[in-house]
Amino acid sequence: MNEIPANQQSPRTLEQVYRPLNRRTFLKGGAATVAGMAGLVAALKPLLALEKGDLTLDDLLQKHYRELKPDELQRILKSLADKCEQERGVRPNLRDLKPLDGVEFGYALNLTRCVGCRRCAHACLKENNQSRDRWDDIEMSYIRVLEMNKGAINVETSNHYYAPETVPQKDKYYLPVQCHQCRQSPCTKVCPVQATWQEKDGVVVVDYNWCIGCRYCMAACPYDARRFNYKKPTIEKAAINPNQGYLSNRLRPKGVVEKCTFCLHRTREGKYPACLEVCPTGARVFGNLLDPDSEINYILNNKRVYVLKEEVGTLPRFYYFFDK
Amino acid sequence: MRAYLTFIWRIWLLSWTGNRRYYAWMGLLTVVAVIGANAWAHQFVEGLQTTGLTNQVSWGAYIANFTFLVGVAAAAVMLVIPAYIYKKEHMHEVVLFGELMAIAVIVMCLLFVTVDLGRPDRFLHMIPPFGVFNFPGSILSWDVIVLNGYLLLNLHIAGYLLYCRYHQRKPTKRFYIPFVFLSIFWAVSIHTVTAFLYVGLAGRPFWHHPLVPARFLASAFVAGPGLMILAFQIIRKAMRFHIGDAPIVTLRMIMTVAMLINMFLLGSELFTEFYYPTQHAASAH
Repeated sequence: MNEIPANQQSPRTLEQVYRPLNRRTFLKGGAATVAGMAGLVAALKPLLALEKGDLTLDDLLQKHYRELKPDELQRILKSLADKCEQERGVRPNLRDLKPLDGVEFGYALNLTRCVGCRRCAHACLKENNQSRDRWDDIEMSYIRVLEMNKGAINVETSNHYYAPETVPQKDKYYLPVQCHQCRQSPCTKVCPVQATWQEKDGVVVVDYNWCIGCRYCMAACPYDARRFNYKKPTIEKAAINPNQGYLSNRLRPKGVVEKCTFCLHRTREGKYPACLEVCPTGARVFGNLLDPDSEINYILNNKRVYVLKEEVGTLPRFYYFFDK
Repeated sequence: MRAYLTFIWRIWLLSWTGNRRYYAWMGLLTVVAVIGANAWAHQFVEGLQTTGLTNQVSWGAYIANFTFLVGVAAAAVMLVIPAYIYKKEHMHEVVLFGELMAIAVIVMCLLFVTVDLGRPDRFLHMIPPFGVFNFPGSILSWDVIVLNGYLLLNLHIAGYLLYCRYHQRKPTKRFYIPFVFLSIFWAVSIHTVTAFLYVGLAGRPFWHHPLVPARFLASAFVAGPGLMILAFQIIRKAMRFHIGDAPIVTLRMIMTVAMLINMFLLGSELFTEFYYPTQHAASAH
């Protein structure tokens, strides 16, 4: 483009190029513009179906969770509780529980005992207010129980849709997988807006009011631990757990990612996670890694412990072990 | 400045004039765009469930199209390099088409990423100082920077050259040549960064592979010039703008070389996956 190329056969003046605007062309252009705009308006008509409160100025202007002042956070908690009451008919006890000093949570699961009954996956749903169309729809549960073939420890040959009459099946064993709360968590590293991060007690959390829904964290997670709200969560009024935390089980908006938080609204108050309490075989062990006398440390010190996908380098806080 | 705005305004006016075929084509494109806007409006209200994506398959055609189009944008550099580095005169006639295509394609890339967001209303969270930009940690934040940077570079180069031609004067080299050379490196960077988006995920063995950026570039340098050749043939037939055979022959040569490299890389991948039946390629066996 250094020189004016030779191939302009007939240099025309600007006036020739821009056909002078006369009545005919003006009407034609106007009609085309009107038709185009009408088409666009018609095309965008579905936007009218947005529910009141789906998009509010407060939501748009809200700051990142970690930049909120205490009074701003209180205001947001109140407006979220109001919204839940209005839309779902349940007034939640919505709080923001901070991590405890001197606590780092760890979880261990006894593969010798797990029978694959999926009670943990169902308990997770009940506790964490996930979206479900029926009571037994565990798609959004934070726990996937994998049915493994004997002789394989690779999850690529596993099946999480297994549905035999009874469990455990012969020649199968069961591997429940949930968020491993990794020390080197790929999900928090890839998030473009820091909507997910590790808390002081090791729990990886999501700010549902900050997440932009790009799902890069889901692609990054080696453990399939994250779920995305492809629609506005559906949950019956009677099924809503009113004991809610801002960073854990409060009702999520559509279009954001969610995940296991080790039930932080329970565990930060000294209770066990819901999946542990429901386990009929006592396969689950939860506790404080920083407390040398905790049960979790007894397991880590005395059992044959391993972590899933060690080669990926995530350094999980979730361990598996064998008893005998 | 005023003169430049007049120039933009006249381009806008010019885009409304043409023959019947032009109106038919633009009308068709408008209809497609309006149908797309309608689909997006439904998606915005009902959520991404309208795409059929699931927790198991969380990225789909949006991200695939985005990745492909980044490649097409990067391939514009295959017109820029012969024109400016090897000083091939005949490429100077057509290099502007490459830059203009890059602009169009990058805009499409950005739109594809936007429609893929679950919360497009929160896009400000990605833009400092309103949001919290996870830079340099997140490769997606790198992608935001390189794609928008490439868009601005090409807008400047193409805008400046067209403006000079509009005034029928010679472009001043120092106003655009430095940006042209920057855009060459930048073009490679957009596709490399987009490949790193996938390569950086250690949990996905199929993507976590050092050949991916090289294959992205090699295949883009086949597909991009291929698309340009098709565009040139249409321009030659349908417009008064004359394009000789020489640029097409040059592009053909670039395609041949890039295709050989691409095929070699593909062969290496196939060998790695199929010679020994590992579990990572189990579904392909």
